[in-house]
Amino acid sequence: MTTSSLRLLIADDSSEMLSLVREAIGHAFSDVVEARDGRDLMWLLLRSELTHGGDQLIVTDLCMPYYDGLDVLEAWRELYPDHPTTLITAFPSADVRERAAKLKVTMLPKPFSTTSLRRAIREATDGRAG
Amino acid sequence: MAARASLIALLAMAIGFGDWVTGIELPFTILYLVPVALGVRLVGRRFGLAMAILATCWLSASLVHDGASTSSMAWNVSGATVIFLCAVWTTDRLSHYVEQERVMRRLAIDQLRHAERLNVLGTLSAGVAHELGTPLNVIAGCAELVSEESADDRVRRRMRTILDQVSKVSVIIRRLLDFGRRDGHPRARLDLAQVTLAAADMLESTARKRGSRIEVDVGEPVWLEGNAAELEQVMSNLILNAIQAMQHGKVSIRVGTTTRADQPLACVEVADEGCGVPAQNLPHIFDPFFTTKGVGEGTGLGLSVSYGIVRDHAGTIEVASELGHGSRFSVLLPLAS
Repeated sequence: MTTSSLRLLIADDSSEMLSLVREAIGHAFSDVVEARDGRDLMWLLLRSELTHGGDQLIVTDLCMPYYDGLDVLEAWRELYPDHPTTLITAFPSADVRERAAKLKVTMLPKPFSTTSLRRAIREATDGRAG
Repeated sequence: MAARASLIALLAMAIGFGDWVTGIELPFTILYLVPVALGVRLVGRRFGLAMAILATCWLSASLVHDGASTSSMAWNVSGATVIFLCAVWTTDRLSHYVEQERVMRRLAIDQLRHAERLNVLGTLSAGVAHELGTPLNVIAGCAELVSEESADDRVRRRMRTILDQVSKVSVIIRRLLDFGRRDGHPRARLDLAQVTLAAADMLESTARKRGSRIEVDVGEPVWLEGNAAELEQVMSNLILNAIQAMQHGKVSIRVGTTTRADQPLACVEVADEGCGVPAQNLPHIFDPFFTTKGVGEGTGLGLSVSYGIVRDHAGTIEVASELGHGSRFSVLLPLAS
């Protein structure tokens, strides 16, 4: 995976899940930042707007406290329509699938293997990383 | 029943005696209707007819006792007989309708209770499955990372075992989610006959291995709005259950249309010649993890998932079973508009 120019932003309310994603794909990114809930993720994104802009990959869980992953991504898409994002969820309902498709977000249903996580990241960053 | 019949007969006798003693015609003709109607409603049509005959006899005897002329007697007796027979017929029809309504109401209440129970189980299953997703993912992910980092074959083999077991649990979770979910997958216009044929074809060799055969009776195409993959899964589950319920038997499948409460519906019947389902198990056959199969033969989720899918398609599954003779599952779905 050649995504070294991107920053990785992981959001999940499970610390074990954050560690897993970081250990599985974190080494391929220039920097790794973690958020524990939707509000954290939103705050990190707003703060990073000036410093990183679109040069980051967001990997977020769907169900999190305060705001869910999809709500945050919908707001973020207003600013960066082509920002690479991967949405992780254990329960992709028809509504979630539809909203994710509209946002062009790569979906990854739980439980996933590290191989499929890496594949999803490749799909999301395809054509962006150099 | 015998006590009721005796009481009604006694009532008829008392009215007859009153008629004999007083000789008042019209009020007693009307009073005779009471044991006749009660006889039909509480004991049965035949008993009601017997009461009508008894009433006619009392009426005739009373008329003779009062010294009525032959022509007056003939008119009175024939008129009263017609009234009594009409009372028997009307009460019988009304009783029939009341009974039918009562059965329908009991069935509807049972179905509602059943649907409500499965709804609760569905919500619970979806919740449990959802909560298991993350820890299971962490277990599998860590096992994969350890496997990648380790050069020791024994460690890698053990990690592989963990991953295999996790994928088994994942299948169960996926099926629990299928049962508990509240939304459907994309729908399209489809021919239910083709969907059923595809499922039957797929399981033909499984049936042959158990010395059974599958017979499919398909007529005209049956069009409806649905998800072909999901409905094929329902048919496969029902056919597989039918195959597993017997040795050397026949699975009869019929695809067509039927009506329920004057509504035309698509219908697939899957019948086997197996052991049947005991009456005490019938209310539980759609419950998650309820199974009568041997260990390793099934998780008890097949029928639950089928029920969930059919419910999402606004349909229902009916079951009729006779111990030692087999079971018949009928999937009823709304036709395409």
